[in-house]
Amino acid sequence: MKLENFVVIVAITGIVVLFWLSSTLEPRLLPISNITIKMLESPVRVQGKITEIKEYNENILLTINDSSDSIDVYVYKKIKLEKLELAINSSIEVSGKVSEYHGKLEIVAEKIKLL
Amino acid sequence: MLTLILGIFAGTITGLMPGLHINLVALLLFSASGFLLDFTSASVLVCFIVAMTITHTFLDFIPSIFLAAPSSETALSVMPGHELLLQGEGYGACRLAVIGCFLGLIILLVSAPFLIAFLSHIYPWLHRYMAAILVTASLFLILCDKNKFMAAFLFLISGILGVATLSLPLKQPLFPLLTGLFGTSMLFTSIKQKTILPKQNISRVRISKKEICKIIPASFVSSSLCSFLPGLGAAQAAVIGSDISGKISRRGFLVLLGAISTLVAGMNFVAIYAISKPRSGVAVIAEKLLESLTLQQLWLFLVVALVAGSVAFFLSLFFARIFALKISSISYSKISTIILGLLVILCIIFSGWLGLLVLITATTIGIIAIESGTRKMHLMGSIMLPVILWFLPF
Repeated sequence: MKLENFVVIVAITGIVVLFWLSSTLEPRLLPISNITIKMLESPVRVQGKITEIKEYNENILLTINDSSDSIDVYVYKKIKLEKLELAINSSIEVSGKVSEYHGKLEIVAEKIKLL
Repeated sequence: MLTLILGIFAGTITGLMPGLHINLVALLLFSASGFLLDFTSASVLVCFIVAMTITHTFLDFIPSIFLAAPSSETALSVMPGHELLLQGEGYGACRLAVIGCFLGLIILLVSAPFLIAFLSHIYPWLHRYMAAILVTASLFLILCDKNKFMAAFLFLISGILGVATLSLPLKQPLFPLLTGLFGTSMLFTSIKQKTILPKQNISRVRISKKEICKIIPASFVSSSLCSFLPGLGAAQAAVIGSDISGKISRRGFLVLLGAISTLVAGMNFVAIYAISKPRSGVAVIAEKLLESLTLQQLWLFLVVALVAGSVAFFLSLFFARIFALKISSISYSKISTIILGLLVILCIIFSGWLGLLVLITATTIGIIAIESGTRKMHLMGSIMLPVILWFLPF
């Protein structure tokens, strides 16, 4: 097989496999207290109860609490939330990346689901 | 003074070592800050971070040009840098990038008062029209290519790879993505073709004033766009900057990349003050250390950046000279094989086995671009497409 053909096959196979993995793999589930500054930009998944909801023009800021600690979750409204009824005391699972705002750690949500 | 020297030293090490990122050093500093703050102030620690960051942007071009081992900020310099290296002008290529870095520093200092005064007003407007700006820039880039079909194909296939990679639970996803597209693909081709480097000239490479006049506004506009918006950085600024500047030579392109690299690094600190939003890993650490940034502190950091940049300018030329003198006496295939192995190991350390899969796929797409003779800039679709999708209003 010519190198060019081999390279094209590997590229296309790689993309298909990565797409499949991106829809099936999830970040590891952590207690909120385990999230530290060393995990900045790292993908994480946490579960907890909503204790506060603040709505802004383009974003929502949730505060969630598990038995270990609480953390703010920054949600862009672009994330499909219409089928989710987020309310105080709802239990949710958040996947996203650890970020920081005004000296406080938060999670920028990529996926949210009700538990 | 000691902080400045230590920052320059740290930036030199991180710049010369492929894969070693300033975020790592900043994080180590933050971890030790509880102890360090008993002896010094937070401003002094941030001076270290600023000196390291700016020095890094200068030195970072040396492994990118001589070893084809880029960081995300210098990925686009691999191709023009490598072409000049094959003509014996590796030192000249580094010199141009370093001149660009210094030019960027001057633009940063001149534009800082304007950015501080107007940024908070311009920021919402930029955010609203970003998708339109990026789509126009990408279409312009593809339509200007001789082989429009291949350019569009490479933009789309690398864009799809970028979307998939950025959706994975991966730490530092850009490292395997951009290293594969721009670095390892080039190294693989060099090994396959048994590239022999000619003796390198230690001479000045000239660039016209007309090109400098195109580079200054292009680097300022693209860096401003990408320093203050989420998800964008030096890599995206380089693509947009090359669109804005119009047709420029390979040499001019290296100056442009240098200017953008330093401008984006510096503007990240301005963003903390102007819009209270840190846009890079080191800026986040700086904000955490300071808690609030005053205007006086910002100007102190900009002056530190100027001093560190001036020292880094001469340090970069010194190391580029050493690389240029030594590199032709060593087998380039052997160096390429060692660097290739090192990048694979770093990829596994930073991003795990999933990162290795991204690296392999990205390398094959990079090889397709090299074999087809299409400009590798279209591979920046890997970053542009995910960002466009993010900024679309639906």
